[in-house]
Amino acid sequence: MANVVQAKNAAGSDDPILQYVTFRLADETYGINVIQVQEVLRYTEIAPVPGAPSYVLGIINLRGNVVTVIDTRQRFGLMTAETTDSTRIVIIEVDQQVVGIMVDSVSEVVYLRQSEIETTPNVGNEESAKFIQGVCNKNNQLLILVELNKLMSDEEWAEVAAL
Amino acid sequence: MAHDSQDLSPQEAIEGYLEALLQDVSEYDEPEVIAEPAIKSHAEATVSAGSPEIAAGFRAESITGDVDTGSSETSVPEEVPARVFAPPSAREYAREVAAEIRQRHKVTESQEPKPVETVFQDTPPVVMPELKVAEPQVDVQIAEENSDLPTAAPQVDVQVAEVETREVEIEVSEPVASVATEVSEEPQELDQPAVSLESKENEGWSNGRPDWAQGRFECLLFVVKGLKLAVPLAELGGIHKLEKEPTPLFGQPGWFLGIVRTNNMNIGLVDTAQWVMPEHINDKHKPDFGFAIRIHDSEWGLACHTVAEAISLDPDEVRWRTSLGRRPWLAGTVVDHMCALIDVAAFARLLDSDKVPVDLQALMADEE
Repeated sequence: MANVVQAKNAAGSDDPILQYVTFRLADETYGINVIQVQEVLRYTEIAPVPGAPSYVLGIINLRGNVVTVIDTRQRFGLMTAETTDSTRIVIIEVDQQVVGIMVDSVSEVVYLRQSEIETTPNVGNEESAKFIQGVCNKNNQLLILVELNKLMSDEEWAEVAAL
Repeated sequence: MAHDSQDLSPQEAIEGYLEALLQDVSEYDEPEVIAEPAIKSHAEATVSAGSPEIAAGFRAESITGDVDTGSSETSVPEEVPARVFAPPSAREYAREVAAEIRQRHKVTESQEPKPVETVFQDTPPVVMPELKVAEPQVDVQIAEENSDLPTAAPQVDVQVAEVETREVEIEVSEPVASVATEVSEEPQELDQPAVSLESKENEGWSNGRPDWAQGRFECLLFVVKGLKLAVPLAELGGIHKLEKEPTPLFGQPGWFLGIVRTNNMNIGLVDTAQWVMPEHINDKHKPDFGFAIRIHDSEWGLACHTVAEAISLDPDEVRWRTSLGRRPWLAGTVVDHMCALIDVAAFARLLDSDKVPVDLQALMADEE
């Protein structure tokens, strides 16, 4: 897989090809950079943590490591929903911190050229508006790319690390 | 032979004559029986059954013939012709009788079959009425014609209905008139002191009107929530039909409906109703727009319900705004068409600036 990506990157170095893991959330498709994705888990029991921020669902035990799971819907300002068989926990690594984000379902890995990513009008004053890296039209469907580095502020990252 | 008859006694001659007569009779009767058995039997049956007088005459004549021939005793040569002619007479009579029988038989047959023929002749007329069952088909065709006529009538009604719908469209314009009156009052409000959206000067304006309105200009009319608006064609980027729901982006204000992909470009769809009439927006408001009017050289699109016709305006027909006010997107009002003319460029600049309000209703409430 890495060879394929390298070959594609070598074909057009000015326009690198990026890989994004797509997931569904509230009937919309989002994408996160595959480099930041460690693994995808089925929904398991999440242990709530007293005194945790509202956007934290709790913690899970991942092969002996404690991983904080973030409520992505709450973070994006979307309505809450019940978990289903398709619910997944995507383990991501941001700023050397490993957290899990709960999504409705995980779809696929798509290849995108850097030039295909278009900026979006940013007219919102909410913090969540900064999470959107851009949009891309893929397979006649608009893919919303999420910038995980801006998913939480430095204070929030510190707060999550303290759990 | 004559010499021999002269030597015979009268008694022998009579006996020889009788024997010859019997032979002749037997000779003449047998061929008739063999030759015309059906006729003879039919004649006898007919005679015996239907005409006893003819049978009696036939018998009496044959007897008298025998007596006559028997009474001529003077010369045998005279008796021979008499003996010879006697059977033909019977034969002729029998033929005549047979002919009569045949004629009567024909008559009876002609009489008897006639009813049959008349029956057969009558039956075709009986059958013909059955064939005249096709007449109902003619009636049915007439009925079809009649059915066609009523069907043609609804077409006329439909045309009338179209005219009525046009009237309804005219009636729809009435509420616009009432709303337009509200818009006509707005320039007075625009004269009021500035708000947070006000800019210091009108960009792209000269002589108190936009640059595209220095002369006669064309405008496109569209309707948003019953309110008729106009955009200049000079600043119109395109009209796109919204065939699917826009893709919403989280963290955006309520008037930003999302992104619409059309003509290989993304358009940020603006809920125009929330901008032009925030006071009429409540929780029941549904952004069920049908079209997006894209602003020229911009990635913004104004959502609207219907797109109306294009009109040509003279700058003097427009009551131009005197200052930006709290509605910098309003270029002026057109009283003749009861619509508000949008300054599309100012609208786009407002959306792209960081001064764009998030909650328009709260903004209006604060200003009031």
